[in-house]
Amino acid sequence: MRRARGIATRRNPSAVAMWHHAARNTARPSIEGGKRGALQQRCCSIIALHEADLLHAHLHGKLGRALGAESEDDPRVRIRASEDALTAMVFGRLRYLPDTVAWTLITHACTPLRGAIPAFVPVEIEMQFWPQLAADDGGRVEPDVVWRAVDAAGGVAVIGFEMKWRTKQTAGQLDREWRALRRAYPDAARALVAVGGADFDEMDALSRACAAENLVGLRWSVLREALRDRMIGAEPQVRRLISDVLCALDDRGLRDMRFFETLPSWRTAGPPRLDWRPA
Amino acid sequence: MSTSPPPPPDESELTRQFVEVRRAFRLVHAYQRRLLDLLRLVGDRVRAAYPDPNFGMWSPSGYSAPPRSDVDITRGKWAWDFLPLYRFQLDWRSSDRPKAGALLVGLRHEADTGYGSTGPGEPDSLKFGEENPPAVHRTTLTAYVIAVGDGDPQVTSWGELSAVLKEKGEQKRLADGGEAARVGQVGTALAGTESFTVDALTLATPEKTVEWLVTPLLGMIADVQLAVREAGAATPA
Repeated sequence: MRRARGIATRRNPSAVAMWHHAARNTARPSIEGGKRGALQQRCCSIIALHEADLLHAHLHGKLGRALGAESEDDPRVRIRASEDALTAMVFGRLRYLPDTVAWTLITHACTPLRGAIPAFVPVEIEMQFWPQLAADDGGRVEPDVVWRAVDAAGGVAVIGFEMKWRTKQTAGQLDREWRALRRAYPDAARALVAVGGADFDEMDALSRACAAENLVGLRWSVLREALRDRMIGAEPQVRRLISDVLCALDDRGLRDMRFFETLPSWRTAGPPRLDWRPA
Repeated sequence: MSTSPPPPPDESELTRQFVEVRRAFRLVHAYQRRLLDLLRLVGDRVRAAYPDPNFGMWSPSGYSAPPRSDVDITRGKWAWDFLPLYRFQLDWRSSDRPKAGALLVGLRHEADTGYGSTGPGEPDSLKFGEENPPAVHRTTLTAYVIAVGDGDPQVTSWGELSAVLKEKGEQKRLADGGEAARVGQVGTALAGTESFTVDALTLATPEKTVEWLVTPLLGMIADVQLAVREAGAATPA
């Protein structure tokens, strides 16, 4: 049975099956002629190509915005420029990691800004994409991702993620999401993660301006390094999943920035060795 | 089967030189990777403070950019053309051409201030060292700003505006005694420009880059815009 909209877990294969069915139908060329038909055909090809990556963006109606139905721009450019597509590609893959791996990887990569992510050993994580939560002012807020984790004793911990790419985190949005998380999960241990959207010194300013009790920052470059570290010695399927996430981050230039302090010095002594010889 | 001649013996001077060439290319790549990251940080910070300017253009300084793929690169090209980041500039600009209220923020990179003419034609890098060994020169980044006030500067390009300001502009101090900017009447507009140069040695970390390049640059943008406004206020209608 299909779960409630906005909630997906890796134990919910029916959603994936439904997506594959939809993708097969969608991937057929449009019957319309002209540029729009060609555009749709290209879009469909790309969607089919990236169907797994864009699963959650599609399920939550985010791809329409990313592709721009009336635009004649290259849809690949639009996908690459979409913050929601990036969210889907990164966290859509992370949800297939073993729960403890995903939890440890993310929580260890975070930098505490105020409070911290509660110490927790999950046995299962329910991962929601763009859930609609009731806000204090009667409106709705929509964190990009919410993880609801349960431990062996039945305890619950909830982490909300607000992703930013090419835009800045704002204390106001984080405050609203924090209050909505508190209202939705009053008995759970809670934390809010600001992913991207704040540089090394802007994180401090954010922590001072935001009232969330447990606010942590996660820089894309730090997440990338954590993923690379986790690949070492990992099982093949974990390496594949992480490799895909790294590809998505690299595609958007979200790698660690390097500065002159790490410029290598190659002063070596002794004669050079040639590894090549003619046959 | 190979018809390649055997390589020269390991101890030969040429072998050592080729090792140096390989090492140099690897080092240049590592340097350019860091340089581009540094410039990205600066651009992000400038655009966070001044959202109007978008990336404008980049170009090598003093020689040409690498040609298109269908151009015969063995004829009529300088080897410098294929080292485009050795000396280049890039900018963020609020409009393609100068107009009222427009702003351009640029950075010029010189990997070696010892670059220069060695006679007619292509500068010979090996002649730089005779009187200008690398150790006495610097690796620099020059930040520059051009701001336009009200009115129409009536020029077709930012380069033309910069040249006019260099020729006709006058150094002015701010009313509060702050830093000067070069301000001049261009067309019916007042415009101003200013620049400063930092040694790349001071930009080793992101924190140092913010301290020695980003913060002064943001201050310079504000100063140039203020200098143009003050000059406009002082000009009789």
